[in-house]
Parts: sequence; C-alpha cells; structure tokens
Amino acid sequence: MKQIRLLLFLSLLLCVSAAGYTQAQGTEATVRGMISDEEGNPVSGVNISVKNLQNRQTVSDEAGKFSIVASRGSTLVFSHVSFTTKELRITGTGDVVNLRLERSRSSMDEVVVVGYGSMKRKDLTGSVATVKAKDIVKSTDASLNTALQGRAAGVSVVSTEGMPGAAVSIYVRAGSSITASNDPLYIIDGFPSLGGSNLNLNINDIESVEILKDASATAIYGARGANGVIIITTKSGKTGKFSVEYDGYYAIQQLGRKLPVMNSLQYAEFQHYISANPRNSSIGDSLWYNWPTYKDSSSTNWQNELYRLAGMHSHNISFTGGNADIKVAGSVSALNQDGIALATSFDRYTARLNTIANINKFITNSTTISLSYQQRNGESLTGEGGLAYSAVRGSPYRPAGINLNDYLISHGIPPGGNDGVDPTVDLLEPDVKDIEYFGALNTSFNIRLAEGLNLKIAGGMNYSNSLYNSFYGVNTSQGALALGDATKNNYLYVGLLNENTLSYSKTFGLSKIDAVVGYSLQRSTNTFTYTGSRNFAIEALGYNNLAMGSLFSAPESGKSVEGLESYFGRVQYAFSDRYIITGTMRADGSSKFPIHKWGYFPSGGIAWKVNDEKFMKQIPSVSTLKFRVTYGLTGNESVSPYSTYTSYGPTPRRSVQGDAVVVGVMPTRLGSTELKWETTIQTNVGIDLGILKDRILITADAYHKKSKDLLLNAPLSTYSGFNSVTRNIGDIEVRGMELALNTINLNGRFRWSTNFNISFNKSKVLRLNENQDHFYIGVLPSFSSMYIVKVGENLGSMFGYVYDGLINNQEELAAAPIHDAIPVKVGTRKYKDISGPDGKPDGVVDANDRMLIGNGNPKFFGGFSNDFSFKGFEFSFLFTYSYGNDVLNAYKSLFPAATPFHGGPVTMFNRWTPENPQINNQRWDAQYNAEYENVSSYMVEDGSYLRLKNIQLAYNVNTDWLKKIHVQRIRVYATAQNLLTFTRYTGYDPEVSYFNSLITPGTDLGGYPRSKVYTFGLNVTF
Amino acid sequence: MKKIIWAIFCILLISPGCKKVITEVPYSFLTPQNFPTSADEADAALIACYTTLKGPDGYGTWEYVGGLWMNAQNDVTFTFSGWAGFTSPTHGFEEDWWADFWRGINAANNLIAALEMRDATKDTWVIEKLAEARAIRAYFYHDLATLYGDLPFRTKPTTEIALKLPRTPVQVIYDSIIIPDLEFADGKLPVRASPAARISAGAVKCIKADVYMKLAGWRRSSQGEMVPGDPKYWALARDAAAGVLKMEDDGVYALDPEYSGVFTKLSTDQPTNEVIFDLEFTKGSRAGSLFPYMYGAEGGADPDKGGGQNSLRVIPEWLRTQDNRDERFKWNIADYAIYEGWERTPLPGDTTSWGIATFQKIYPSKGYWQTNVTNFPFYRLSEAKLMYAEAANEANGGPTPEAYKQINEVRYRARPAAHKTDGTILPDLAGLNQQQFREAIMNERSMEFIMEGKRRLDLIRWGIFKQKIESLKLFEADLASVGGFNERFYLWSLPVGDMTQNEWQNNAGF
Repeated sequence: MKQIRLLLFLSLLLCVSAAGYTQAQGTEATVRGMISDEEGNPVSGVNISVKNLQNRQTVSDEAGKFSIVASRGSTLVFSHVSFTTKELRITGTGDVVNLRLERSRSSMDEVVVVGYGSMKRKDLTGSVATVKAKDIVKSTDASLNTALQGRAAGVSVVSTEGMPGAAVSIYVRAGSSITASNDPLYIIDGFPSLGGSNLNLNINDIESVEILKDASATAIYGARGANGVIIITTKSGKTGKFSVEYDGYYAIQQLGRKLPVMNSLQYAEFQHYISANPRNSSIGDSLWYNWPTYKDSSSTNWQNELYRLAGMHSHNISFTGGNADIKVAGSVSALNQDGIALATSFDRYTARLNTIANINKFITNSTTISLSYQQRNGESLTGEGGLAYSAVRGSPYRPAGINLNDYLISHGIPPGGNDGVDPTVDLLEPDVKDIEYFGALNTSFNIRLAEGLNLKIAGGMNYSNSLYNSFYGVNTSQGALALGDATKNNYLYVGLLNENTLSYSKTFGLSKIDAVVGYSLQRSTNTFTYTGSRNFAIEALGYNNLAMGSLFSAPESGKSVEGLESYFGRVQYAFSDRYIITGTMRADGSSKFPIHKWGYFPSGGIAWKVNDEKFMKQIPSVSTLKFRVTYGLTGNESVSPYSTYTSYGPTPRRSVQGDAVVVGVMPTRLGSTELKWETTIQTNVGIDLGILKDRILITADAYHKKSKDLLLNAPLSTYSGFNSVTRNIGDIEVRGMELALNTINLNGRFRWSTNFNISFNKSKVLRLNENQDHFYIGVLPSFSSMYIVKVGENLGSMFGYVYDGLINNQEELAAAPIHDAIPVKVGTRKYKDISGPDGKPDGVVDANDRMLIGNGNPKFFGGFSNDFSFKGFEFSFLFTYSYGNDVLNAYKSLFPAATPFHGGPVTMFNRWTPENPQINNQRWDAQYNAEYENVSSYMVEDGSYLRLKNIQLAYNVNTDWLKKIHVQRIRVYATAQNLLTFTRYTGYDPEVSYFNSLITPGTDLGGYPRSKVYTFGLNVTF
Repeated sequence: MKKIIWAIFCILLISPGCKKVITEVPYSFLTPQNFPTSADEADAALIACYTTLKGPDGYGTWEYVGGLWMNAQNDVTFTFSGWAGFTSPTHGFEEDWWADFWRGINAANNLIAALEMRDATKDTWVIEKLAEARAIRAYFYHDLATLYGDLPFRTKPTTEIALKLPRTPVQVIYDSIIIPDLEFADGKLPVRASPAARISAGAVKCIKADVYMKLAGWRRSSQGEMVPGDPKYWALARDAAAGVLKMEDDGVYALDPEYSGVFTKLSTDQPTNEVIFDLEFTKGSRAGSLFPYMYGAEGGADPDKGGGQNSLRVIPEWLRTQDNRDERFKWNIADYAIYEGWERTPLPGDTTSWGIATFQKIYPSKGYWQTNVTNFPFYRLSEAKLMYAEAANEANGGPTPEAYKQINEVRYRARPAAHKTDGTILPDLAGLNQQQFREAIMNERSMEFIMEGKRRLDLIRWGIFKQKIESLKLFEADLASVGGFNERFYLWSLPVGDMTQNEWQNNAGF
C-alpha cells in the first residue's frame, strides 16, 4: 500500500514514473502454436493473452507462430483487429495449439471506446459512431475534423473556407445552444483537449474516433456533454517486434473553379458606359471616351494572378513495439502546405510518444507526451472588399505587379479611383503569421485492486501558446493610412487535470455488472496580451521590433481561470446477455457560477438484444436485432468565465486631460449572479439490424433534444448604462433521424464494402427573452443583419427582403413599391411589399417587409463510400452530400455593382437594357450601387451539393523480395480530393461559412476557395 | 473490501483544495466590491464618466459628432441631409447619445453609491469627489432633458437584470436630481482653469447658469406643447454666471486675446484660461479626435489630406447679416476647399457650399486621424459673459451696465486688430431697450458659438425656433418636401429598444 500511495503522489506531481519490471512467476508450462486465417495463411500480429493476467501477453510472428506461458485450466485470448476474438481453454500442459481465426465481419463485435471505459458495440445502450484510422488517413487535410466528414451519421463538419489551416468545426446532432458554444467536447486518450479544429493532431497517430451522440453516452461528461463528445484514441504500443513505418505524400492543389471575368475591351466598354450614363464626373473623360483603343491591350485575369498551383508535402515516421513489460509507440511528422492563394501556407510539425509499462503484477503506467508546432501564413481573402473580391473585380487592363496610379500617369491618364493597390501586393507584402505551440503530458496509473476491480489515477497537463503576428507595410491597403501597421498578440492556455476512477466488472451466473465511479478536478488558465504599433519610418523589422513604430496601440491584457470539480458514475447491468440497462450520473461544480454552482446530469438507457432470444433462432438470417431507448440530461457550460460579475474596467476610448492620457475606470459589464448551466434533455430510440452474419448492418436512431435555460444576451434598456445582460432565457428543440448502412458486398479475394449514412435534423427556437420573439444576428459592415433567431422558426434562418425581379418599364416602375432608402428606377431591382406599420402592404419597402428568405442548415446530409480490394490493390471513394442548405452569397450583390475602376464577372454583360428586359442582372448605373447593402432573397442560392470528397487507389507490394531488404510492406497510393462537385451554386464553393456558427450558417463573403488536391503517397513499413 | 476502503481513502487523499478550484477569482477587472477605495481610485472613476461621451469604442467620437450634427440644423448652419434627416423615425445618433449619456450616469451613480457608503469624517477626500460625481450626473441629466424631454429616474447603480420604468416629467428631474446635485457640488470643487476636462468650481457655476437659463426660457414638452419658463430662474442664472465672472476678476479665467487663439489652442492641446469645461483628446491610440474630419471644408474623404467632409454649411441669408471683417467670420467661415497639401481652392460664389472651419484650421498634414488632438469646448468664458448679459437683461427688465460690459467685451475681442480702438467694426453696444438687447444677444451667440452645438437649443428656449426656420428662404423647398415644419424638429426620438421594453410613448410627433 505504501507503494500505491507513493505512486498516487507521483501522479499528482505529473511525473512520469520510471517503470519497474517484475516477472510473473508460477508453476506453468509453455503453450506453443500457429495461427492461420480461413484460407490457411499464417496470421502475424495476433495478440495472445492469458485471461485475467494483465501483463501476460505475446504476439504471433510472421509465420503465425507464438509461444506463451500459461497454467493448466487458464484461458488464452486471441485477438486481432481483423478477426473475431477467440478464447481457448488450456486443458493440459505443454499443449500445441493450431488455431484458425475467422475474419470478423461484424462491427457489432468491435470494441468501442466510451466515456471512462470501453465496451463491445453490441453491448451499447447509447448511440455511438466510430470512424477508423484506415478511413481517417485517406484525408490529406491538416485537420482531423475534415477527415471525419461524411464518415458518421449525425456528425456535420463545417469549415469556414478552404484556406490551409482554416477553422473546421464539428457539430454533433446540430448542437444544443444558440449563443454559447455548439462545439462538442473532445477527449484525447481520456483527457479533455482544446478541441477546436484539432489542427495540433497528426492524423496518422489516430487509432479511432468515437462520436458519442445521445444522453446515455454523453451524460457521464455532464456539464460538457450536451453538444456530444468526440473521443479520440491514439495509437499505443503493441507487444511484438519493433516496427517503423514511413508515410509520405506529395500533393498538388488547384483552384476548383474559375469564374469568367471581363477582358480589357469589355472593361473599357463597361467603364465607358457607366461614365456616360448618366455623366459621372468622377471618372476621367479622356480615358473612357476612346475605349475602342483598348481592344489591342492585353487583359489580366486576376484569378490567374492571385491563385496558383500549390504544392504540399507530408512526412510521417511512426514506430511501435514492445514486450510483455513495456510497450512504446511514437511518431514524428512534418506537413508543409502551400495555399492556392499567393503567399498563404500552413506548416505543422508534431511529435508524440506513448509508453505503457507494467510496473508490477498490479500496476500499469501509461504515459503520453505530445508536442506540436503549427504556423499559418498569409493574408485572408475574405471580406466585403477582400482579395477574393479583387480577384474577380480587379481592373483587367492593368498588368499585375505595378501601381495603378503610376500606370495611369504613364498612360497620360489622371490618377484616381480607390482600387490603387495591386491585389497581388496585398497578398505578397503583408507578413501575417499565426503560430501555435502545443504540448500535452498525460499519465495514468492503473492499479488492479482485486479481480475485476481497478483503480485508475490520471493526471495531465495541456499547454498551448498562440502568437499572432502581422505587419502591413505602407504599400498595402491596410497599412497605407497607418503608415505601416504591426500587431503582436499572445494567448497562453494551461490546463491541469486530475481524474481518479474506480471500475468494477463481474459476472454472476447470467448477470453481468460493469460499473465505474470517479472524481475529477480540472483547472485552466487563459492569459492574453495584445500589442501593436503604427507609423513605421523603417519597415524592415516589421512586427519583430514594435518600437520602430512611432504610434503605439493601447496594449491590452487579461487573465481568466476556471475550474471544474466532478463526481460521476455509471452502472451497466446485463442479464442473460439479452437485456441491458445502463444508468449514469454526473455532478459538476463550476467556478463560473456562484449560486447555482452544482449541476446534476443523470441518464439511463435500456437495450434488448432480440436476436439472442430463442424465438429468433427461427430467423437465422437476422444476426443482430437490438432495440435501444435512452433518456438523460446533459449540460453546456460554455459561458465565459466571470459572466456573473459586474465588472469595472478602463474606458474603451481613452480619457484625456490636457495632453496626457489618463486612465478612467467604469462599469463595463453587468453580471447576473443567477446564471446556471444550459441543460439539454435528450431522448433517443435506436435499432441495430444485422442480416446475414451482419454483412448487412443497419443502425438507425431517432432523437429529440430540448435545450433549456440557454444563455442569451437579454437586451436591457440602455438607460441602465448597459445594452444587455447574459441570462438563462432561451429554449430550443432539435429533432433528428440518422441512418447508417454498412454492407460487405463481396468478401472473397475480391472484397467490396459499402458505407452509407444520412442525417436529418431540425432545430427550432421555442423561447427567448420575455417581450422578445426574435433577435437579429450576423451583421456585416455594409449589410444589414443577415440572420434572425425567432421563436417558432428554425435556427440558421436568413432574413431580408423578398426579391421580385427587375423593373422592366415605366408601368412597372409606377406600380413598384417605393424603397425607404434607395430610389428605384427602370432596370433596377424591386422587392416585394409584404407588410407595413399596420400589418398591411403600404407601398413602401422598409423594415416591415423583411422576412425569412432561406436557411443555411441542410435538410439532410451525409456520406457514401465504397471500398474495394483485390490482391494488393485497394480502391475507395467517398461522396459527401448536403441537401436543402441555402448559401447567402454576399458577393452576388457586390459583384455586379457598376463601380468605376472595377471589372467584374462577364455575366454582367447580359444586363438589363430596354431591349433586354429580364429578371436577374440590373442595369449598369453607377448611381445605383448602394442597393447592394440590402440583404434579400436575390443573394440566397441553393447550396446543395454532391461532392466526390475523396478517391483513392492504392497498391500493396508484397513479395518475398521485400523481406530480403528487411521491409515488411510497401504501399503506394494516389488520392484526389474534391475532384468533382455537383452543385447549382454560382460562387466558388457551396461549403462555406463565414461566421462559422450554427445560427449563422452558409454565408459566402469571398471565402478562400477550396482546392482540388491530387496526392501521391508512399508508405513503407520496416 | 479492505482494498476498496483504501481506494476510497486514496481518492479523498488526493483531492485537496476543491473549494478553491471552483471559486472564481477575478484577475483582470475590478468589481463594485473592491473599487473605489481611495481618492485616486475615485478620480479614475470620475475621469471615466466624462469619457463615456466619446462613445463605446472604435470610431466613438462619431457619436458625439453625430449629436452635434443634429443640433447644427438651425438658422445659422445646416447639414447636407437637411430637414429630411429629422423626419425619419431614427437617425442613429439619438440612440447612441442616449446610451452614452446613460452610461455616464450609471458610472456616476456607481461612484456616488460607493462614496456615500464611506465615512466622510474619516476619509476627508470623499466630499469633493462626491460633489464632482453629482455635478457630472447633473450635467448629463440636463443634456438628456433638453434633448429628449421626460426621462426615467435613476439615481442608484444598475443591478437589475430586467428593467421597466415610467418616464418622469422633466420638471421633477430638474427639481429632484439636477438642481440638488448642482447645489451640493457648488462650492465644494477645486478652482481650476486648465485642463478643463473635469468639472471644476467654475464649471459647476456655468452648468448652473445654463440650467437656469433653460428653465427660465421655453421648452418643448414630450407631449408636444410649448411650456413657458418661470421668470424666477433669470435671477438665479444671472447670479450663477456672476460667480464665474467673479473668478475672471480673481484671475482664474480670462478671454483669450484672439478668437482664433482659443481654437488654435483647443486644436493643439495648449492650455487656455478661456475654456471652462471641455471634452479632451490627444495623440494616441483611441485618444484622438474626429471633429475636424467631419466638419472641415471639403477636401475629399481622406483626413490624410487635411480635408474634411464639409457636411455642415453656412446659411447664406444669415451670413449676409454678418460683418465679414469680424475676426470670427474669418476664422469660422470656409469659403474654400482644401485638397492635398493645404492648397486652398476658392469655391465659386455659390455660398451654400461654404462650410465651417472652426476646428479645421489646425490639422496635421499627414498621419492617422488618431493623431488629431482637437478638444471640444462645452463652456467658454464668453458664454458665461453672454449668459450673464442675457439673464441680467431679463431679470432687471432691461440691460444693466454690467450686462453691456460683458457683451461688449465679447465683441471687442472679435474686432480686427486695426479697429480695436476706433470701434468702427463691432462697435460697443449702448442705449438699447430690453428687446433690442435681447436680439443683440441672439445675434452675438450665433457667430460666437457657431460650431459648438448651442443654436438649435437656444432657438427653442427663446421660443422662436419654428418662426425662424420657416422664415428662411433656403429651407422653403426642403421644408415643403417633408410636409412643412415638423414636431420632430424639437425633441429627439427615444431609442426603439428602450421604448418597447418600457412601453413608453415616444415624444410627440413620432
């Protein structure tokens, strides 16, 4: 016991304990044998262990041979990923065992990692989806999250844009909140992680990803479970020969789609027209009145100037090996990805080491160290006047790489216009680096106290340091006015965790009990510093020496600490292996809430494995039939720390006395001490149906979630001195259905399997603040708000005027409603007069006429994949799809504006003229551009798509010759990502979400276009 | 079993300090529980109250500029959006002004509550800080009352998470908050001329004079009636202004020798003893000023090039009544446009495009707009003089010698140097009856404070707003286009959010 206490102490200090070795002893004999598959070929890598002897195991060699010490009457367990686990009782001593393993066909037999434990899929009561390593590594995206897209039902993957290293979010069952986070909880090897885009993970390190969806599965994570839980399990060492694997690829990325734009001649015609109709004195006459001379000039397509073919390469070396006492696995990796836009790139380096050591008969230690460095370089393209905009609207008559005004002057044209900076300069010159250092150290001691009773003591630390650096020189648009603009921001996160669990597993006759109880304590600290300066006489040092600027930005800094204390437990009782009941409970105490400190989150589930009933024996084709029903409460604690405090801080604008800046301190936020957790009540019913030995396996789930006490900023009368206060005032509900179909179509030498999944969900707002049935959200500088959250409506609702075509003639003009801000005329857009101040159409288009015009969340989405293998060849493809989601294409309104000095899409030439009446493209009229500010259904497009996300062909070289050069395996592969996209969307990419949130989905404001990626890779195992 | 007990014991053993982990400790902000605790901290809280006028963030001064803009539509200056800007239900500015002033009132209420908790006999600094906090509150309430009419009654820090209050009549706000606050503050604040960013002994008297002037004159009620003032306030206004003039005699305040001198100093962060209370800016991030940019003469939208937006213009009919040799004419009226590099381009004779350059003459030729330091004056000594002269004329039934002395000092200062002694330009006034003197004051204020946001409110308190506006030829077409003189020109609209949450009736006309 002394030893245990000592170890407890060590775990608290987060020290890695030196592993001690103790050999098992006993009066036993060696069992030898050979293992083969159904065709009689030897199987290597089979794990052989003696049941109930934790540290007694071995692995079969390349000839399928093994030997292990076991006593008479003990049971040997033979397990392998691809085969059904087999148990064998040793009846004598010195037995020779020759065993034939059956290839496992059913994922129902696979072990699934759940919160604080693992169990076979067939024993689950909850809803859990799994994505395997072999599917994950097919992705060549830096983020693990992207690799999960289309692979699991109920899991939607949303990325803001296609920039290398861009944010990618996962939403499980449409989240649970309105304004608090909808991100799931990420657990890596038992330790909560920072989550986000998971860019600090090397996807080659991942063994499997489990997505916990319903309350029975997630309630063990209590106050953080409402948005689902994603459990990431990394590769750990296996007993057996030491092996080293290299995986590397080179990829070429290409702009997926180019928009046709006007050439110089068309540009001149366009500019000529808008300068004269009506006369626009801001455009120099001399330039545009002789436009036909431009027909000889060359044309610049800025898309060709700003986008490029970009390379990407990745190298990963991993190793694994071990004996009965110590097992290690580790990896190092490097990823260098250039973006398709100039001067954008993403670099990442990771290292990871996992050791599992048997210290003695009772104690095992597992320790993981992971480190990563990532760096995102380059300028964003997004924005109303962003570079993606310039790529389409840049003036085609001027060559890239020179200053517009210089060019104009050299051609005898007066300088002018606000398009003065060459867009390529705005990409190439800014020095923007977003860097993250990440480190994690996790260690746990597993102590076997008695048969079936284990104590696990775990401690971990996560560290992340993000540095944002930018410098915009005076030649860039952003730095011009400030005469050089440098920023340096620093964010530091340190998280500490101690978690202790006691688990118990026992079989009594027909009854089986699995139980776990635990206690957890975690604390995280966030600090930030923002600094910057402007007005640089000497630019050479950029952000590396802020003192070179003569005007300093007011620095900001802050620190917050949050803590969570939890008690939790789960009991699963199975009777006769047919009836399973699970109950979980978690109590979470959070530092964020002073009064309602503790939240309690219970859940329960039952499952009935009908296929094991006697009467089912008459239907032998049904191999699995299981019904599941679960119900439970989970929470969302994603409220910012200190929200309950009324706080004093410095005034946002600086106080001044004379020529001195002085500090004024005022109330900056009103706190409500009454705040508490958001709570989600979820009911789930599911069925698992397996036919023909589970070669056809269908999993279907239907659920209903009601989230209440959602944290919202309740508007407060401004005479209070505040605009709003955070309160628990919202309710929403989510209903959904999911279906996953996995089939093994052919299972001989030619193997063919298919996975298909589809998810439907809908979230509806039930309640907001008293006296408030809606609020607007998603505001951009030049636009009014784009989205509405409204009681009775779905989340993700777009809001604006209803587009009603163009005004084609004087009669239509006379009949058209007037607009409160913009004069309408023939050839311009008109909007429907829906209502007025008295609830009736009033002939004026104003705030009363805005209504729901679309929804950015899909009606359904999912994935469809097929895997083929024949001899050494493997071929697979994955389609992802989304149906019924709208995209608010803000550029659709911005592009056709008749602006001096701008080109545009060539479609502008099919414009309204008296001879060409139509409904889409308005007249060219430089005085009629303010109109683009109106959010209307004109901008809403169907964003449904079917995308060939991933297609891969691989060949495994497997000849005797390899052995001679001590190579176990060589695999070569070619992959294409985003090769085909079927969509009616007219922008670059329907998979876009400027705001990256579930309540404001699908805004396209010039997102970085997603590229087509062609990859060639090599995988060698030594 | 023994092992299980051991295990549980171990778990308990390694779970120390849980209470601490789930107790929140603030690191980067202060709370009402620990702030303010000293005179210096109280000063920081006071300073913040003034800064609320600069708006919540970013381009905050736009808001103050925007509010001035609303008041700049009068019989002397007009804005390029004209009267139509007043007839739309929201202009944006009034919501921001409302919020900014109330932020200031809440900040003051927080401080007042904290100071009143302290034992003033032990902490001797408390009384002075309390006086300043109450003076600030009075000033903010006074501005709100003149712009919005009836107001919610708030004298305690906001702690409520939901609010629904009625509007309290303006007279009650004056009688129960503004006047008691000013009476409390008067005599308790330090005598100080510069910097004038904080309310000093003289500023309190100026605010008091202004408050009494407004109470003595006409006001427009929230219900849409012209309410006559109580003449008893004239004497109070006169005496309050006299208190400021006493400080001039004591050498605290003095008129700058040149009218241009005041604005040159305001624009360059130099001290001047003429300014009694102002809003101050200086170089630095989020410390700079935006007035010159908004209100300068035309020069493109780029402040870099020294131009402003020329969004305010002079009314030619009024300008023709002014002597163009008046130093103030020369300083204030921009008969030119500024393009890059300080080149002044004379504008054609079309005088409706003449702007006002009061705050635009001194402007850095290059650099970020945040490098602009221009301070904006709320009260100058010349206003104390003209308030005194006006109040004395009203209280005494005609001009007194002292009233003549004060107005003539303001006029003397505006004379060109060559005529200071001969007095042929802006001659000393004498021999006027009460009405003539009243009109002289009205005229004097028009030029003296052309860019200081006073005129529209002056016209209302004199009861001549509608008549003046309707008499101007320039406005004929503009007024016709909005259906004639509108009730909405008097008081501003209340913010829609506050109206709906509190179920208020908006001001008459909306």
